[in-house]
Amino acid sequence: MNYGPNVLILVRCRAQLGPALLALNRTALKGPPRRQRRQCLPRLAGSKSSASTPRRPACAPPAARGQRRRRRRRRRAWVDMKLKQLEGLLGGLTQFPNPKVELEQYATGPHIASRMLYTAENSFDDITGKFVADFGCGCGTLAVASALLDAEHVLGIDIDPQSLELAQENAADLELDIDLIWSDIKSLSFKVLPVDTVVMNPPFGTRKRGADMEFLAVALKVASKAVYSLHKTSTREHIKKMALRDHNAISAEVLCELRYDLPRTYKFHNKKEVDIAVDLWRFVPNARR
Amino acid sequence: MRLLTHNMLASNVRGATTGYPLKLEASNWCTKEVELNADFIRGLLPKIDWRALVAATRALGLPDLLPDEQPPEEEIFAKGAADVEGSAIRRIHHALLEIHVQQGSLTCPDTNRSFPIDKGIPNMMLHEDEV
Repeated sequence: MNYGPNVLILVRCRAQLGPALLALNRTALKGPPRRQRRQCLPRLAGSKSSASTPRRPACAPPAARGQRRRRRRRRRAWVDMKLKQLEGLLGGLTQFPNPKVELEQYATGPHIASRMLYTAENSFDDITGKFVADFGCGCGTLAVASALLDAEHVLGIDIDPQSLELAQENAADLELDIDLIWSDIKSLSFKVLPVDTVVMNPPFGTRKRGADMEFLAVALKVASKAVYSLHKTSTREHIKKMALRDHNAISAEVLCELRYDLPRTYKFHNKKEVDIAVDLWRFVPNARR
Repeated sequence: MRLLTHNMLASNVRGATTGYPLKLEASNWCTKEVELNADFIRGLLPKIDWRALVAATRALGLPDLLPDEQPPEEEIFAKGAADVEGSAIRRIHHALLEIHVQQGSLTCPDTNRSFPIDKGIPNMMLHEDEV
């Protein structure tokens, strides 16, 4: 299988210089041009194209089996590398220097953000070539991640002008173009709805009750394909009920449970670090309105 | 702010009936080249407001970029059109995705409330008494 020259360079890079330098190599992450890459980029296990790969014959000769195993290992390494690289690039972003508690500003960690966007693209094809919006984008981690995965147009919306400036710098550092709007999510109105996918890490609603549902309601109105969102695992039943019953979603599915390791951000936090269980959700909105 | 973003935005000030399309004024804008993706444009065209897009390009002083009426789809997506300089699809792509408004303002057509655009970011925040 031919992965093109970028991969070879990367493998060498990884061996010699270590992962820290990988973060700088953005062009390598973007890889070969879109059309070529579609063919050579293997998808994560469980994705739709893996179903179409021919099944292995039951009694393959040993030589062929070894070859296949090697190939599979190589393929896993490539997927793994892309994910790691995305995580590395996101780890280099500047995060909130003075987080505001009333807005529940907590940075989306590179680990969670990279997995969230990676799943959205590799399992559901919802990012590359799509119009992606990031609600409550903060410093723009999810927006930048979408742009890195070749979303056609990325729009970030936030109520805090300082984080928008940071988001702009973060995108500019990686030579990405993202559009930003300074607004409150609930007071924004749209005439036309060209957004395909909404990705967001909304406030969990611990400071202001219902803040998470406000975000979800607007997201389900605006998106036409899918909404990816993080919510506390403890609110799982409630979220599901609200999304399906009140906000007209066609489906609401927890893709995985993640640990949100929260470093001590505000003065009232008395522990050094807490792990919060969060769910990564995928909602399918009712696009026929 | 790209014109695609402008195309979807409406003003939500109290007293506005539709608040759309927002009148664009730009003192500073630039263009950045992006690779054309015909499938994306095909999916986008039925969803956007053509008149608002045309008005926005004219507000930037580009009277000839787009015609008053949207060309038929067969013409826009004709085979090979994407490679022809100045074809309809190239112009549409340019208008939607390659123009970035840096400084200027958006004005609500109903209430004349103006929303400034600073460093490419439109400020759509409303005061408490405007909601």
